[in-house]
Amino acid sequence: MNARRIVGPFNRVEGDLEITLDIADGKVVAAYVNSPLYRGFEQILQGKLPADALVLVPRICGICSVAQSAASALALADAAGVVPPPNGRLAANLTLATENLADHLTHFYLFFMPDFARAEYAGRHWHAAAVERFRATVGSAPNQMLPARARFMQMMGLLAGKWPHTLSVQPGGSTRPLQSSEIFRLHRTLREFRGFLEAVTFGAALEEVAAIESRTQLELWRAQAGGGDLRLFLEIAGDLDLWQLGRGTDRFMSYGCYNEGDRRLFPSGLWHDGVVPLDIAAIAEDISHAWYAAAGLPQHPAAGSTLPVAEKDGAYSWCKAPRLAGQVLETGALARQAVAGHPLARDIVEAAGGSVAARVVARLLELALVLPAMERWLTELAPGEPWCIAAQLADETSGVGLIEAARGSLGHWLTVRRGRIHNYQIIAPTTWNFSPRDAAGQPGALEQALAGLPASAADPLPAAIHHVVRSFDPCMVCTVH
Amino acid sequence: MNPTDACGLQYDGEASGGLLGPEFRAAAGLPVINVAGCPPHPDWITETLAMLAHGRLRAEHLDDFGRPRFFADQLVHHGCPRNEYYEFKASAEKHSDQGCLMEHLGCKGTQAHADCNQRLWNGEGSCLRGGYACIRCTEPGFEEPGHAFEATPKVAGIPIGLPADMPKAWFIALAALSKSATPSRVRENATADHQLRAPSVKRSKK
Repeated sequence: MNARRIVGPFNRVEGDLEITLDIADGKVVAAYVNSPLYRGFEQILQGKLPADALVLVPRICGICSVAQSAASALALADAAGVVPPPNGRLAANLTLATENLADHLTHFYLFFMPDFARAEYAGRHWHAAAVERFRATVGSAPNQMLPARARFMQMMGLLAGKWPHTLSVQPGGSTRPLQSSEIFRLHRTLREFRGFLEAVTFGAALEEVAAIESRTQLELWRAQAGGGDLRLFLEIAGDLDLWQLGRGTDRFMSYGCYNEGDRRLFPSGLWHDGVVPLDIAAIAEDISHAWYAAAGLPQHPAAGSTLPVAEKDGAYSWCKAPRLAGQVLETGALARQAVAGHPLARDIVEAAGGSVAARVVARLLELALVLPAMERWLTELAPGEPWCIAAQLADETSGVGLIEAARGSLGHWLTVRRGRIHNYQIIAPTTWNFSPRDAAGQPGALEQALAGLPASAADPLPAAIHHVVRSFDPCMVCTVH
Repeated sequence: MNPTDACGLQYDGEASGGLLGPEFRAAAGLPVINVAGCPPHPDWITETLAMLAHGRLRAEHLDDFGRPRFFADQLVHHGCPRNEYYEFKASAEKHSDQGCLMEHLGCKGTQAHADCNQRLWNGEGSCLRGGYACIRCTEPGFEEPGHAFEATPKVAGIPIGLPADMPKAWFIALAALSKSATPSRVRENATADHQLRAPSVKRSKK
């Protein structure tokens, strides 16, 4: 029996999301992902003073606000030709890392895991444990995680004044010089967060988790005593075979992030059966299936436009369809770690590509990888040395800011004419992952990952569909902005 | 630029009206409560909801723009740790300087209604403590200030936006007086990113 079903609005995702599923013979034959809310930040930015972008762009999003600030500061720094002093670079790393780790934690505990407490899993041997830990509003896990997250976010009070919507992240560095006693307070906060992760999330030292090199080692580790929520998830993932669920394009992109002076903690690249350098010039945004006025062929974002139209034949989303040399890409923690060459991430994608379990494990792996780096950056801060230099913009200039938000690759493309913003185009991580079809008819990454899943025309949709959608940790307000 | 025609529920900028109109009252008899701020402090939201749930928030507890007075009857300036710099008009000239942010870097903390520097954000933060201007985000129309957010507009060297309730002539006279009386410690520290001179230590006479 054939049917068309609309799923949405989704709870436990950031922003508005609606998915249309064409179902035949008990399976999803085609998925159409719709971002139903348009806001117009790129239009609002036109004509503004370039520095005012730092005030406006974080307000695209209440959860990845610093990522937007960081991309904007990088674009402005590129346009001004300035490089922040080491303290400014380290403070920017610490601020972005705090937000990214908090987002990973929130996704796992509040957005993703509650689906395993659903009644349809009542017969599974792990169900009682999942209900006790993760059932929405009453599970024991959120009551442990929320205070730990709030305490961790106090990093932002010292590093950035406040979160969200800080102005401390500037093209020339940080507005917030830290003194030694304050740096020790930040160490204390990190140590407390490490304690939470090691006791509650991993049941193991972060370094032990970071050292896991393969899927086989991961399963051996799971079988050890120690408890922790990752082990519970791995038990569920094995039982439900989430390692085979929700495969996308298997082309993974990362812009790279966390500037360490002569290198980045996670380098940039494109993984597809091996890593190749990323050619940013090959990015183009296709609007054939999005509600925007056609400006001819797909355009590179530096020359892109955002001209909303309410009616357009064939369009079904406000999300554009970014492509790299015409290819659909997946971005996020799994992509970042596969590109960066973490052995576990490489082993997973080489064996079975992207999957629900792979995406979730990569996020938790990043908690174990990035927190020790934050501890190192804190020790490298040098009170008394400069934190911020001036950044003077020419009246005619342009710049690009590329960073990795929690959810993946975020790019800002800025053009300044006569001292004002002439064009400002943004491609957010979920714009890549949740893009609609392009002119060649290629579905986006989530659309591909949903195709083939079991579904019926009348019965409640299986939780598997929710697992796949949420495994990407979508941020819909950033997607369209 | 407002491409989506977004507006407030009961105000459009300073004008009463908005989506629901000025006469709208909810079932409990209250107008729309504007928990202002971009973003609002999370405590402002939870305390507003808790007060409503306990019947402790009535119309007289809202100010002229429908903001709960428990946070809107304060100024961001209250509790600012840069107060000594403000008193002596010892001003920051660039980002990461320790001085007052009002004269050059666009700070509107003396005009913005909120308790950010008493309640604090994320434990021990605020915009001013973070080294950047208050942009008045709890006030109607803050999003289009008509000047660069992080620069102070001036006429003849005098900031256009004066502290709340302060007559202009007084401000000018006091500013001139306090500038002439600024201790060198305060003046030097104001344009540095760390303390160059500590307050002097005096021993009591025996």
